[in-house]
Amino acid sequence: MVETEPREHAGSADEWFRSVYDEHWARLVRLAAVLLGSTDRADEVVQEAMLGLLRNRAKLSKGPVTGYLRTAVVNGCRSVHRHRAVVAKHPEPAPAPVAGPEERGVATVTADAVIEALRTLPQRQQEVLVLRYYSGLSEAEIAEALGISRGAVKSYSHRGVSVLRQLMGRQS
Amino acid sequence: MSNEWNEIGEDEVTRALRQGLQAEADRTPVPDRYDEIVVAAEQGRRRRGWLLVAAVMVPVLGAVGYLGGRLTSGGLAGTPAQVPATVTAAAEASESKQSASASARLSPPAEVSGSALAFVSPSGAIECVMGGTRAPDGVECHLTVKAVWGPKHRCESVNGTVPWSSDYGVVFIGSEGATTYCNGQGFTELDLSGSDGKRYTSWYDPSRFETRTAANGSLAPVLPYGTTAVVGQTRCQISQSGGISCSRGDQTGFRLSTQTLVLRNGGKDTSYTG
Repeated sequence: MVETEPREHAGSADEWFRSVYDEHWARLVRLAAVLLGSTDRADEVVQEAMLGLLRNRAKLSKGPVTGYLRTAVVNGCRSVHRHRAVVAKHPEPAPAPVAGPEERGVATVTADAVIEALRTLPQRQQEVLVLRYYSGLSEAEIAEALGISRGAVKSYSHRGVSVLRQLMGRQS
Repeated sequence: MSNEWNEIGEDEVTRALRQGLQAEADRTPVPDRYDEIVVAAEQGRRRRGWLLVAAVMVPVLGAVGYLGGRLTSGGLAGTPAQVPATVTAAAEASESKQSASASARLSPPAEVSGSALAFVSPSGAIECVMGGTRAPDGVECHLTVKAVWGPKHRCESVNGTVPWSSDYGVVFIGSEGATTYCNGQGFTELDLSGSDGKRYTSWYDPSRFETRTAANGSLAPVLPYGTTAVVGQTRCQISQSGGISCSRGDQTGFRLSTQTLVLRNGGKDTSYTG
């Protein structure tokens, strides 16, 4: 996925933020939803990230903001996950699929199963896989967003995909 | 995309993963929050500006009051600050007695309460949030400095147990009682005076209470020594020697300082020391 960096605006700070918002808001809300595994609180997490950007705009408006926002969203999602962790020890039955039967072909059923398996992985592995397979980020970009080394990114990715393959193998 | 991952290309699983993630993203509603963000940022900016003015004016007015007092042979100088609505009645009574005294310095209230509170200790070593979305079942605190007991205490994270660190460890009272959790980035992602500031600090009146810069750079209210913070059934108090003590009405609680961590569950204490 190609993400363009916000251009420097000759206009007002409002104009700058409007352009950042228009460029990143929807994509980050979707990223937060995928990282969280639900739409609940996704927009709240991104709202916090955007507020952080606005509060520090004197410093941040001079350069690219994509990395800052992505890291803030990942951290926000991590915070939500931490509070869900206790609940996750006693998981409730998985919710019914949103799509109706007529919308679910064979491929979608497989995708649902993989996503279900993904949610059983450790949080860090999920983050790496989401950033890789949903956001299409490079190793270096994922390392920056998560604050870990490139080697760790590769390791988490490899382990995550291996476990998914095992799980899917067992299920099929 | 170049194959920098040094792996065999996509297979059925990774293809399904990509499709599944995209399907989840496509199902996500994207409400427009632009106006809310701008308004919240503006409110935060005004508050910070106001605090700056207050920080400048308080010493100036204090000096004027001191000089006025000297000139009027010790008479009361200055106007008592407005009492915040959320300070309890007992504290208000105590304050009103004190406002009649010759002292221009206001004592901290015995108790502050609200639906959600956030605060730092006077030393800045402890930061806490009570209630709200952050700690819905009680309170969450962490240390901003290294704990003597830290290396010896392992705490739970999503990837197993890891040694405690002030960088990412929190102590909380939640639905499973008093426990510790080590993951993420502790409180660094929490802006105590941000958009949630109003919600978390409903007791806070900068004309009366001290502030400190929290570990994440935001300005946060100080819970004075001796003042009890109350949210629902949870009560917390900070002491200079013992750190912070929090308890809930069900024999659950903790005491947290750089020297000791005590977790209380069902009336039974588990202690960690250096």
